[in-house]
Amino acid sequence: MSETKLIHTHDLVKTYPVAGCEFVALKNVNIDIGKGEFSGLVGPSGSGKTTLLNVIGSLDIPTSGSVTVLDHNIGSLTHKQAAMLRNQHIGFIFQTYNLLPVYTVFENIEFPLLLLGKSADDRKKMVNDALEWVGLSAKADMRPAQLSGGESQRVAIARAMVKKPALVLADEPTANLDAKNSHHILETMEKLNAELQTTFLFATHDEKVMQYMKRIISLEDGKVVKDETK
Amino acid sequence: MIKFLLLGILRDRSRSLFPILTVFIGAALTVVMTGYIGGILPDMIRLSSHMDAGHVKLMSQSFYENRHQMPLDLAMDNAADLIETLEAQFPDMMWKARTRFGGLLDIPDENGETRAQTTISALAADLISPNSTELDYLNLTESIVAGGLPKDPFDILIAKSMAESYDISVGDQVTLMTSTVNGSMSFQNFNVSGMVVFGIAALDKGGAIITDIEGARMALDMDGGSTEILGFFKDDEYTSERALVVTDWVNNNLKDVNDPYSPIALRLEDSNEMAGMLQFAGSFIFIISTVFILIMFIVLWNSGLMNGLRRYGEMGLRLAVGEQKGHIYRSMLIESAIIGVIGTIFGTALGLVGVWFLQEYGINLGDMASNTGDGIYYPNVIRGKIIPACFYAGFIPGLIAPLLGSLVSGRGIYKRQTASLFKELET
Repeated sequence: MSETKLIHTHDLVKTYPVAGCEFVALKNVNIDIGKGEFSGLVGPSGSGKTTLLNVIGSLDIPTSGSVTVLDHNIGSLTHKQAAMLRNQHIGFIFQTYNLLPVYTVFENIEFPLLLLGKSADDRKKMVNDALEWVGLSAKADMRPAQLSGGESQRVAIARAMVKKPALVLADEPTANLDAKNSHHILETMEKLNAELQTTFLFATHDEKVMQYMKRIISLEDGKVVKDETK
Repeated sequence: MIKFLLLGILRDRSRSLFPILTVFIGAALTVVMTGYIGGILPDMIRLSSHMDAGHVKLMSQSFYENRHQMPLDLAMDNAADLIETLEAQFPDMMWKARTRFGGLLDIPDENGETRAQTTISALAADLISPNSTELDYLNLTESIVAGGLPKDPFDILIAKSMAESYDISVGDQVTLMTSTVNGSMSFQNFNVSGMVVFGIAALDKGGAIITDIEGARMALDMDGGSTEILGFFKDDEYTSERALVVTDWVNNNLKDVNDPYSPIALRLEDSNEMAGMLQFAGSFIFIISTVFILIMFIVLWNSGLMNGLRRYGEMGLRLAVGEQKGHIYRSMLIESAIIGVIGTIFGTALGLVGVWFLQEYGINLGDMASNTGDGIYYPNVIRGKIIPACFYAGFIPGLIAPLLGSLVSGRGIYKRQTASLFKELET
């Protein structure tokens, strides 16, 4: 584990009301993730991977316990503060890419920078850099519908990385990709992890993804059952 | 950000086309209706005042109380004196004595025997004095389609439709049978000097005859009298406020509650049923805007909800990358405003074309107009008019309705938990 803690959870519990009962999605989760880690949350469906990712990403709040991300206590953030944390420091990569179909590749990647209030010149330079990282400079003016699945996910990576966030949360990023594209995507992220020291946290049950992880945190029924570093 | 939103609107037709079309149609209809009212109202005021009510109308109190029976015995008998007083008091006005009466018109054959009879509604005005302006006010010169203007007190003009129905020709002699102010029978021969088509169904389709007031006075035995005195502002610009000054003065200074023959003065809108219409016209833009805002709001609210569901993924993504809910909500309102502006600009352009068409060609509503009465006149061919309000009227519903639609439909997204949106993003 790296020396600087980026994420710290302490006795994290998350419950949801389901049909009048409380469903416990996370049970006393205690993990620390340091700067520059390339880690994976693994486990079967319903084990709490995505819930944990949501809480760490400040999209949800803990029911009890605490989660600290970049020295921000997630449970005490206002909506506005949580949005600012995501905007400035966290990138998201989704299973279904979630590119905005009416915008070009360039504009999709540019969007988070618009929210950050970057100037047009800065945006242009940063988007071009991001396109270069993922090898899609030639497709900047294309629409998502004109891209393959692998290319779309690379655009999603560029969008997550363009603002150079401290943390990237990737939820099943290769689930819709074939083996070749999956490896390509993971190599790209591995390269960015090494070059930019960005922390990556994956939620996955894909064996291919696990091969790339430096650390694997296994979840079962909302509990951490194994935490091993390669 | 605005540029980003604009690009989205322009490229995503399913997001923009239907709302823009809705606004476009609503704005166009608002502009057309505004131009239509803007055109018909001045015509209606002008014709109704010139033909019937004046800007101010004076009658004797007792005649006013029984006006629907047109009781000649209750008419004013001192018209000239009264006019002199009024002209001195209101130099910016001109005053005209007119008399309305009913009767029977007897149309003889070549032997002088009755060939046909018909009821008539007669209007007597000063048609032959050298300086009379009644020919202009009644638009007689332009309305004559056969023959000529009366030159003698016993010349009359008759509606062309009546002339055709009873086979009356210019130069024919007809007999008017009516009662005098004293209640005795009156028979008076008149020469048909011309036929008129006013282009006003209420006059053209009735049994209207127009005669000189002196001839009528002789026939009705009402020397110097008239059933009404009409006052017109010399600039022909009517406003209720101007007229009120005059009616107030007359009713305070000339009206005598103890003298049933003393005059009572009424404004244009008070002497017929025009008051409600003028009130409606005054608030027309507000009314039509409200109607279209409501209709368009319901349509755009639903379209906004459908659009919101379709764009759930986009909303979730935008939340994930750190956009605040309030910012997303505001951006939806900005999108609506852009859609409103685009739709309204095009709608206003189309609406102006429609108003121009109404202005140039008009719509002939003569058949419908035949049933109007109570002193409200408007031309058979209704013409719109491009008035300043046409340029901005469409923007009222065009901007408010989409904003309201987004305001309501957007609340669903705004109130949804961030994590829920994010989860739905993944499904």
